[in-house]
Amino acid sequence: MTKLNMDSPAGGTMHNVGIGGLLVSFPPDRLRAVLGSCIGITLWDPDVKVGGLVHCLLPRSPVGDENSPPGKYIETALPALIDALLKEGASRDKLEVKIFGGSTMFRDLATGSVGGLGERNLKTAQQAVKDAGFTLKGKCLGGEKGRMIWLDLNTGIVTVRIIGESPREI
Amino acid sequence: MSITQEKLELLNSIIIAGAGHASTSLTKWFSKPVHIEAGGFLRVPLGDAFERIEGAQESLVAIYNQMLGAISGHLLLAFPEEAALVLVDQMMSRPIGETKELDAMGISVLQETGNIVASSFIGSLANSFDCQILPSVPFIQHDIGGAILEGLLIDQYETSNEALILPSRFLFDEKEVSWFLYVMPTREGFEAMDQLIG
Repeated sequence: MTKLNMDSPAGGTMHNVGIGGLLVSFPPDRLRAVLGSCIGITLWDPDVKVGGLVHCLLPRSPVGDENSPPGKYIETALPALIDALLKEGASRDKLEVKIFGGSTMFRDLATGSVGGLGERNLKTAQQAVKDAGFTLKGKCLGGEKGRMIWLDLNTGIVTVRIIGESPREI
Repeated sequence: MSITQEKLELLNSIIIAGAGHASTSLTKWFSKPVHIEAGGFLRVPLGDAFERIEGAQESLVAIYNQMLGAISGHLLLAFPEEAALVLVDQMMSRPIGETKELDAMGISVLQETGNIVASSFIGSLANSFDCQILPSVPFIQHDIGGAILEGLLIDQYETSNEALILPSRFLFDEKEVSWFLYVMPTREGFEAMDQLIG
């Protein structure tokens, strides 16, 4: 069976960041997420070499949802990721921000509550980055295919794999 | 999901009966014994889908059918790419390994296989609940399993930090094969089944 290539670098651990997850780590670890319509936001400080990844499902939380992790919603995920990195010694003005995902996986489902979610997610993520005062360092958004992304915490490079395409580094 | 464990077990038995009907239809389609073993609904916490659901870490060729009508949901029949190519070879009576990529004929074979599974499974479900449910036209997605599944579980995760999915194992010609069938009712689909069970 063809398992996707998810090898860990020597001495490091490849951490999977699932839906709603938020993780911060140091080299030689790498952080990985599989994204469809979800959004992955990476932040990395090149001086301290600390970085984080958050995997968001939806743009914003409905009223009264106090039990969900902050990473589930884009509006709460970015501030939570920034806070987590600052606690590990990162400087806010050094952080490099990249965003990924927001695909329309099932165009035929483009009705109802899930309809157009990828598009809404990517617009919300771009606005959230702007509102937080950051300039995007890189992005790979939209389309109709899923993505597997890896953040290399030593270099800050995010590798994006899309089925049927060569991996690209962002 | 708020459905009780007792009702979930009843749903499991109805879904397993549906898998039995789909097995019979596939056996006729392939002229070889095919057995789908549906194990029951799996509760998958938010964030665990990629690790917990078999096939999520594979590159999959998936045939998707939407369940429409009284009970809404998603039905996904999926194969690792090489298994999909073998299946096309078998159905086209070609030597195994001849098909190197999916052409229009191969896609048609897979879509029809998905149609057969969806029609028999959904028909069985409609009979069990005495209501009308129809499959949509099938369409094919070749992508990372986790990305496909994430898209179909979103409506459950929208209002809950847990989703229910029913994965299955396949025996083809009495040998276990790495095919996958996932049944994922929507949130509204679960509510409808909950009411129909009473």
